[in-house]
Amino acid sequence: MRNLLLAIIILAAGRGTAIADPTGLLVNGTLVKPISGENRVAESSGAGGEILMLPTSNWLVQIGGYGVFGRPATGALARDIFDVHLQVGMTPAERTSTVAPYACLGIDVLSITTRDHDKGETERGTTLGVSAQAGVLGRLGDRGLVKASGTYLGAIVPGTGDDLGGLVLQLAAGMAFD
Amino acid sequence: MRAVAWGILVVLTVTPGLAQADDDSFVATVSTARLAAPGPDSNLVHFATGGALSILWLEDCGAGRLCGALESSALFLRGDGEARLYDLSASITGSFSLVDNPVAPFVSVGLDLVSVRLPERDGDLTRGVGPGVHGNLGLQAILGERLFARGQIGYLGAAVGGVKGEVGIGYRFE
Repeated sequence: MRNLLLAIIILAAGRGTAIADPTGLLVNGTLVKPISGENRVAESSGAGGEILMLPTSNWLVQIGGYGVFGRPATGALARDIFDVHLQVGMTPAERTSTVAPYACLGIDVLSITTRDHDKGETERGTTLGVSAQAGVLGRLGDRGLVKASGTYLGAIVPGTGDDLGGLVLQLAAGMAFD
Repeated sequence: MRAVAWGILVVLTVTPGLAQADDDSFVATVSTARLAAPGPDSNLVHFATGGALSILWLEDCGAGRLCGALESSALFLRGDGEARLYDLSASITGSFSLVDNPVAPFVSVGLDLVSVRLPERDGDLTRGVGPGVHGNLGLQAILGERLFARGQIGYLGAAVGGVKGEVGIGYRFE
């Protein structure tokens, strides 16, 4: 609970950092591929959104989230993951660049439901996770913004105690505000 | 119980009550809400319907900028039979400016504290209080001087994980 309170405070404080700086608003399609539980846990897919802030030319802050639902498959667990995260990262590119690679690290608050269709059992819970993301940010025209990213999301799944160990692949599009 | 009290305190602390800029505005809204969650075949099925009361603080924001907002919301959902979900949440929002857009898209994410009673497939009832998360994509508009309208769809991951839709109207205070 103490960790949750800290996460709330960080989110609240994050708002004040850079709304006046260059920013972006993005929506994304999200696919979560389990690495540790491959073949035992099905892929999950869904969508999300993100607020992107660039307080300096090289630093970036992302506040966002996504919801993905596990695909039902015989012999595999379906895992629904609902995420809110705060990530801080860096990019080597200049602000005027059309394409900019970046990398960032963050903390995730995760609500996870694991459904076992074969046994008819469901496990639920909320936990904290850690994410490391690398991707490419691109500008389209004056205000268009696109982003492709891959994230390793590490967390322990509530209820089952499994290692979430998932690769989160996202394609996002949105608008930039200078 | 102490954890719940702390949660409520923090949620209320980070909400619009701290806003100090003279030109910022507050909006009180009332919404109808509906939540769908994965059913036995993993397809989304109706879980509960209800309403929400929200208070938003909207940043005073010029044309062409990304505008920030903070929101606290109390959601009351009643499902078929024994299902209930009560949710207090705090959100951070990024929105297109309402100065240059009559209808502005927005993205919001936040944290939740829920109290839930949930019928399981085997007939048992799960009851409890716990934390959660949510995210929304939506459209909002200021109609005339004071009237505020908003529609949003998103996910709620708090005991029950599902897709939530909300439509609401509000009144803007300056």
